[in-house]
Amino acid sequence: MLTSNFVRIQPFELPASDSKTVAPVSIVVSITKDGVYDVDNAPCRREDLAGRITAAVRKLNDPEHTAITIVAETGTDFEKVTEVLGIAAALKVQAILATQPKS
Amino acid sequence: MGFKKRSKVSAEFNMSSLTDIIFLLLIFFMLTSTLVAPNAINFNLPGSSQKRVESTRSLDEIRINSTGRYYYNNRNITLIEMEQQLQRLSAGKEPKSESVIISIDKGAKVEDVVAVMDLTLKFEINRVLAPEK
Repeated sequence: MLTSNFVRIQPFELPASDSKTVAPVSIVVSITKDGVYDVDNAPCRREDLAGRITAAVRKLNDPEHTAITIVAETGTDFEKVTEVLGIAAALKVQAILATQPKS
Repeated sequence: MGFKKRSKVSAEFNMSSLTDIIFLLLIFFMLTSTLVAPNAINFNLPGSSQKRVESTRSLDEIRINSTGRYYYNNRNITLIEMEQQLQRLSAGKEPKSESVIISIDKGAKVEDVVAVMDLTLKFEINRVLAPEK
């Protein structure tokens, strides 16, 4: 509990926020400010994003308890996040935006 | 002389106490790991099972542009002024009874949007995201 706050998984800076949320099983979509997308740590082209996320959600087979965690690097245009939010809304799954604590 | 023979100290290692400790640690981490909430912001997406609140009242609008400037009802303000404005908006009211529209211009950065969302969460104000298409 104490040490988990110091564990940094992402190699880049995330937006700072003190908000915390408990999310169900999630699919992780990372977006860098250069527009590089990863779905569950596998590189993905922008045009394949919807298909890859849909496949990942179907694989989990429980949309009610599935969330898409959007890990967007600081400096990323918000419309890239909006695109993923749109996919999540169409699939009727939750969406959360990963942040890092304000230091 | 009848000295008593000292009892020998056993050099054997008792594994049962070690497994006890391991199981205790395992249970401790299993229980506490569920209490760790990751830093994240939750979005209430349309179509989800959210309660709809109909309102005829006009809502205050926060606009974020691509250069990171904030506008509160078309007035250019800083983030500190925004915090004061939102504090005034929520003062003396029931939590989640007030709402704001967050209009996001094309090219606005994610950290600027998160900064505003963070303030609305702090003052328990509902937010409606309106990104520019």
